[in-house]
Amino acid sequence: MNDAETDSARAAEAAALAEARAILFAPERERLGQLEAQARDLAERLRSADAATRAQGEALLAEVQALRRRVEAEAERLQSTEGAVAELRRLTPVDTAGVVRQITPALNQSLTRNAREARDEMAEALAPVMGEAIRTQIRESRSEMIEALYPIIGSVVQRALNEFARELQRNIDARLRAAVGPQGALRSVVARLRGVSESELALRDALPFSLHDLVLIQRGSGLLLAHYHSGHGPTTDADLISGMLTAIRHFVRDSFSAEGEERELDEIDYGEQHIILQGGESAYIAAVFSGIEPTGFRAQLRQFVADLHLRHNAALRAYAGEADTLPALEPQLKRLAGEAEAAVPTQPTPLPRHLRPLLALGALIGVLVLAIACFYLQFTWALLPLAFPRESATPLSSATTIALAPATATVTPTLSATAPTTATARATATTTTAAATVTPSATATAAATAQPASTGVTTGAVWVRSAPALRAPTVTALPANTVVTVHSVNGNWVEVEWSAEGRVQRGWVSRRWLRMESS
Amino acid sequence: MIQKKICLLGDFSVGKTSLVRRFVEGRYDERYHSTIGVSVARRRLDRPAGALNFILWDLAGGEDYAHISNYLIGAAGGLIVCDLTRPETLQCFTRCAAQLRAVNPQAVLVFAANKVDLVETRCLGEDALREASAGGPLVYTSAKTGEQVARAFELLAEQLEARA
Repeated sequence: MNDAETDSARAAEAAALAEARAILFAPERERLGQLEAQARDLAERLRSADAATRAQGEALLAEVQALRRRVEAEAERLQSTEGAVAELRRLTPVDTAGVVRQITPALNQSLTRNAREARDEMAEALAPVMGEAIRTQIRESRSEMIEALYPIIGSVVQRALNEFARELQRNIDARLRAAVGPQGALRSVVARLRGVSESELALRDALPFSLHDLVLIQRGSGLLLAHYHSGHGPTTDADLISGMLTAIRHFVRDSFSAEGEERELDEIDYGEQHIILQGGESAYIAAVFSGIEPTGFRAQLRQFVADLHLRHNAALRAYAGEADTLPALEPQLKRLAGEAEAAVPTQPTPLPRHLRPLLALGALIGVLVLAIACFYLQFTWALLPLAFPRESATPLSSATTIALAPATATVTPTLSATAPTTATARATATTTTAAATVTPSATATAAATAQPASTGVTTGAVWVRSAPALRAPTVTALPANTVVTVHSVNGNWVEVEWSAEGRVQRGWVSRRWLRMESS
Repeated sequence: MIQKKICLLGDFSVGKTSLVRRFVEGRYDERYHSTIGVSVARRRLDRPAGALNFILWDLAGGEDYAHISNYLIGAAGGLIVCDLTRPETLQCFTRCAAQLRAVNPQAVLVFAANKVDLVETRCLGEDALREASAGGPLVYTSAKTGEQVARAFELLAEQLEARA
């Protein structure tokens, strides 16, 4: 078999095989065709779906890109906002503590520089709110303000009290010295004669105040601001005084004041002279004087310094030696000196010449009045026993009779126990009547001692009583030198009988007013 | 008349009081009297620009100047003195100048190298003095002979007038 046959055989076999295959695989082929159609359909569908998806993706992408652009724009804006916020944070006190920390040094430096270089401007800027700030602080933190101000206020109050106590003590001492002792009594008389009060005269004599100098000095530097010399005392170098006084004040403050204390030397004594120092914020005044200052002198100085600072504090503080920057201070010192001297107790003016005779006449009248008063006093003294008798019953009807009585009142009547006989008595009695009897009186009390009839003479005007007692009713009054007949004696009482107006009467008289006469 | 407070500063025994006495009273005392605290004197200077009244505060010398700061208040100028025969006194130039300026920034200064008459015992040279005075006016003075004493105060016056 040749090759062609072989090939045709093979071709036939192949055709048969293909036919067989076609027959065998026809359903599969058909199925495959369907599947391919489905695949194509699916591919087509996929293609269409892909296109939609792509379109959708592109749309989404475009949207994303738009969003990205917006985000970028927003981010840019946010960044700029953050920058602004950071800038604002830097500029504004959001972080208060940090800001305070940062600006405090600069602020302190600025304040310090301003306080040193522009004090007046600082004061003007702060002054309007200072009062309100202090009030607010007091209202909100009262106790803290008290604690803060106490060292200042306490020191000021203590100083004022010390000053007041010293002045009070000085015045008391002066007045005691002036009032006690014979000089005080004499001064009292002289003061009344001169028409001034005793205290004024005493102060004038005891406290001869004499103002010598008033020196106004700048507080820190000791530069002289103004000087007034009254003419009293030696002329002083005010420049040196102001410098040395300031140095002394510094020395005393540095040496004796505790830390934080603001005490100042306020008085210097040397011999008869004294220096009072009254301080202010920018200046202080030194008053040089002898004697003891009048009451209120320190208050005057204090007021002067306060007024001065109120009006001229800036000029006083800024003074650097140029006199033309200062207000006129000397006239003010002169006025202060005048006021101080006016406060000294007034000198009593001497009596005018034409009034001196009147004063002499007045003195003479005074002496006469005094003599009459002495006489009257002695007269009254003599009448004292009559005014307040212990047992006498002196009649008061006759003043002249009473007046003469004291001369004889002291004579104590003596009554002799050995009385004369009745016969003798009758013989001596000038007023003996028939009724007279030598027997004891029937009216005598049981205690009466029978008295042989004798005579007596009244030594003064005397009451005659019905019984031997002061309380007994009076019968009548016998004038002095009346001769009576004595009938009996009862203690200090004597029963007498006398004749008057033609009839005999009897009664009791005090024995002291009767002078017994022996028969 | 313008008055100015001038403070004299320096160590012990450099001659501050003698300079003041020479300037004010025109005399010199060989005896040494230590100043306690402060001594105040006055001298009027008649200048072409007008009279100046110098209130001279002669402060006690010493190491511790902390306690004299109060005395420096209001000082328009300072004369700082050293002793040419004692090198250690030169230190006060710097110290006192700083202290015075701390209280009064506007104060004028003059540096005085005193005891220039003691030539043989002089220890301080020109360079050291120039350095210590930091370029400020420096005067070689002698309170004993009076050399340049008035000049030192005139320099103060000139500076004050220039500043006015």
